[in-house]
Amino acid sequence: MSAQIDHLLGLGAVGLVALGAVLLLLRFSGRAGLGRGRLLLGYPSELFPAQHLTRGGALAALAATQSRLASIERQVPPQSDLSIWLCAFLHELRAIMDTAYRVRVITEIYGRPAQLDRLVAEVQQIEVEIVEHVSRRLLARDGDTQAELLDGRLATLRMCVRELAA
Amino acid sequence: MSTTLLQEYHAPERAPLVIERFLRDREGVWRQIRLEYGLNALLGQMLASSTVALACYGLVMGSSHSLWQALASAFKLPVLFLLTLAICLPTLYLFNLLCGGRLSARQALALVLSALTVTATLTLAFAPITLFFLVTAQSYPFFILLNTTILLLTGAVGLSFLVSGMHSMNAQARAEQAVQDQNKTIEQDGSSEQIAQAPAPQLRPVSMKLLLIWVLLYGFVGTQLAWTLRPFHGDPSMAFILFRPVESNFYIGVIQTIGRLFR
Repeated sequence: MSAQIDHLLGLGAVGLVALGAVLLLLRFSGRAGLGRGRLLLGYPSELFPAQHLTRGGALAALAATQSRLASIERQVPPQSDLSIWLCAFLHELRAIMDTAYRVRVITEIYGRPAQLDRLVAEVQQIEVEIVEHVSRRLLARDGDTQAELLDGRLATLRMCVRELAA
Repeated sequence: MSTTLLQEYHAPERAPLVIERFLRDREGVWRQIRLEYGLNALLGQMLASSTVALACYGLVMGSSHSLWQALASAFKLPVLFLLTLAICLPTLYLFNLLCGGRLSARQALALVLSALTVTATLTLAFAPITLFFLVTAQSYPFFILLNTTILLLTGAVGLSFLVSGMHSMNAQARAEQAVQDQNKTIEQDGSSEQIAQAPAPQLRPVSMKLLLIWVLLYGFVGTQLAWTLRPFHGDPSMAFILFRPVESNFYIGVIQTIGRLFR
């Protein structure tokens, strides 16, 4: 029985060392491809070979929405709430785009192209809401900046008045 | 449209069916690994499908002895393959770096797991044959040799899948490099300024010789680990035992079993 336990412990130790090495490699090794956090834009031909499906229709509309939202994301301040939220939504949208592509490819085989209009309409509706929200936030930020500017001018004026009075 | 269809395909492909994608769209899988696109999901699917397939085959192997042996083999067979992978993966990754290769650790893991998925699924496909011989042939040495042959055969097919994957990834990388070089030449020709530029460091594709050496190493580690984890079938003349004492080695064991078969 003790020999069995020794055997098991030995194998457990080997397993732990090997697993530790693999986890370390996965944690610290670099990435050769797209990498985490980087977003794939549109439908590049090497990942989505059925380019005749992506050039027009619903898939092109989704890609255009993604492109517009990605350009907005680049303009908002990094690490802000808005940027984090937009980034999460862009990753969701990427998953939706991948799914839509797969559905189109599969349904095309059966000669009944999938109607993705409702999906596109929903995504575009979300895009409109996002754009409105971002505009409001940016305008609010702009308002704050102008208020700060006015405060600065007021302080300068007060200083001038004090100097004149003196 | 079918919301149902959309929902169905929004979910990741079902893990046990990942093999279908491997066999139908091999190039797509290699491309996905090369670009590391959606690799975590693919790794999860491959891990789940190979563990389930090997556990099922382990159950069949151990059922020749007793329920305890079946359960032990269902646990030991996935452990055998996954531990062999974990032991050998760092060497593949570091040798690849030493030779100037461009594989990342995740890509190396995905490549080896793809070979394991093919091996595991093929092994499971042999389960009805093993069951047939379990019922019709009562010879213990024959049963050991049958399973050893099946595992060696499926392991070899899986490793050849890995080699073909590496070939394909190297070819894709070379094609990509050629396109980039061509674009650079066109840009340089088009510009009026001729600036002397230092050549960009060229990463070499993974050496196939190195890969073949690694495949041999993987085979040696796998067979020795299998010998250490035995019994997988359980000798019908003996009570259930989790591990046998480590003595001799796999190759002598196989020769002795062949001898017992013809005695």
